[in-house]
Amino acid sequence: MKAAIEIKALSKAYRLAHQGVTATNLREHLFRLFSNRQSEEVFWALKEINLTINSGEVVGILGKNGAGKSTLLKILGRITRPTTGSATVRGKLVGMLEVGAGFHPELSGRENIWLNAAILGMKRQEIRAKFDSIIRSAGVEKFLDTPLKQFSDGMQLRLAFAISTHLNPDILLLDEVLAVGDIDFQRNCMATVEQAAKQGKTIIFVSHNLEAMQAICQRGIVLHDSKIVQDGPINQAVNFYQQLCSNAGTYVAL
Amino acid sequence: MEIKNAVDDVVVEYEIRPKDRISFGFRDLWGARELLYFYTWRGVRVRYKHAVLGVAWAVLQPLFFVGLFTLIFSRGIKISPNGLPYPVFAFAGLSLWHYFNTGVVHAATGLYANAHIIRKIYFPRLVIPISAVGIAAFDFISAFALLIGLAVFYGLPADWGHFIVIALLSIVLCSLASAGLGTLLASFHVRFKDFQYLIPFLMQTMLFASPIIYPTSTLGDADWVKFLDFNPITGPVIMMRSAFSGIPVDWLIVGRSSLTTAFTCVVGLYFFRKLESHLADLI
Repeated sequence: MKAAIEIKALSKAYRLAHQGVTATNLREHLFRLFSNRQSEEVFWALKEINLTINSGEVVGILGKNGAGKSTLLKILGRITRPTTGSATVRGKLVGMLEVGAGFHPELSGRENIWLNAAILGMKRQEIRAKFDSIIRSAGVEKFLDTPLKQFSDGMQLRLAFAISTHLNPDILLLDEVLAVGDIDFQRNCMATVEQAAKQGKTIIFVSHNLEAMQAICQRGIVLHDSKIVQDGPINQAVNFYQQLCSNAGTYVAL
Repeated sequence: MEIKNAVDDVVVEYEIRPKDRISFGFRDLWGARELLYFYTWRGVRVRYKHAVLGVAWAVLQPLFFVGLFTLIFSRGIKISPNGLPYPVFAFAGLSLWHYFNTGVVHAATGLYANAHIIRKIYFPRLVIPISAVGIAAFDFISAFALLIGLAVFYGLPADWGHFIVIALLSIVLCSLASAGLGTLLASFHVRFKDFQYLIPFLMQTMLFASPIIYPTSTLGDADWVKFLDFNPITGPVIMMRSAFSGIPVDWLIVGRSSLTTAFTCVVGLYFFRKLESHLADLI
């Protein structure tokens, strides 16, 4: 069977302007026509990433803030494109890069389910079929006609999570979904992820919660300075990452 | 919790690369037609959720100007609005203008308004400007119903068969004009923040450089007057008036106006598609 995700020599550069803003007004653009572009600095968020993830693997990505974890997920989720290299994705991929992105606070729970499911790519027929199951697993039966802004954070999270899992993806990208919500929610979340893993879904999981990672993932990847510096069994990756953090000051990239 | 996925069981495979070959993305958009519907519906819901007068606003805005212009022009300045009573003449133009203008402005600024979604979820971005025109169309329907009522009050339209065909053509052309210019300005707006200030200025100029408030015939026969025909809103407006008056359409003017619309549609789509790939990094 072919791999679920194949990443080849993938790099992503962001242009930084020196005063903290990129040129977005006409004056700067006109100015640049007459000057060389020396004022621009290029930041490589990812450098030459090669990675193959097989179907059914549960992979944890570790790394400090700014190591490139989120950029990698954004590229796989087709939100932004790489600067060079390529990635092949086989199967239906759903990214949860932020819980509840696409919710509208003024609309009711019911309206938000329809809207969010549609944004994430569900067809009308499919939403209708899964609607009851979504509200049941989110536990929001009583609040269907309440504006979303009156939902507690926990309820919004449960709803968003229920919608994403009902998309029935083959590949699930999860970015820091455990960083929000209370212990109950986190437990719930973990249970759902574990269940999805058992069903043979491919899961890519980004979190700073190392314990959770060790519980769910088999494989761990450590990103540092925009490169993969470790790829192996999750325990090995976690050890490596912890070491990386403790030698933060003196660490030299491999 | 096992739900059979009846809709698509095919394994999709796609490659993510720095750049796609240039395509206008109609296939993506066709695949997203339900999302387009939901997005438009959301916009309509959000717009009227807290407005006490609700949908009435869609009618009140152009109606206010019709009253105002009728007061000014039907008394002070003598103009002959080719066979139409001034209120019908003005409302036919202003309701279309309101549709066109709302569509363009919301399409052009919609990417910023939806930045939080764009940064987190992938979907064909063209849904945003096009649904903006859809939302404006929803407003237009009420205004158009009122316009027909007003015309009937004056014993118009002269010929219903002619009316239906020409009015429909006018609305289609107006929608295309709005979507084309809106998409073009949307991609400029993301690149240059200046467009935030330029767009209202541009729209105001277009309003005055069109036969919406006064018939262009009042400007005389000078050659430069012909340039006003290239205004994308001119074609729909003169067609709508012809629909009511029964006077044949001046197709030369409609042709010139449509040329601009075709241009903005093609160029707008081209720029938008180029922008789409790195849109999330820019906003």
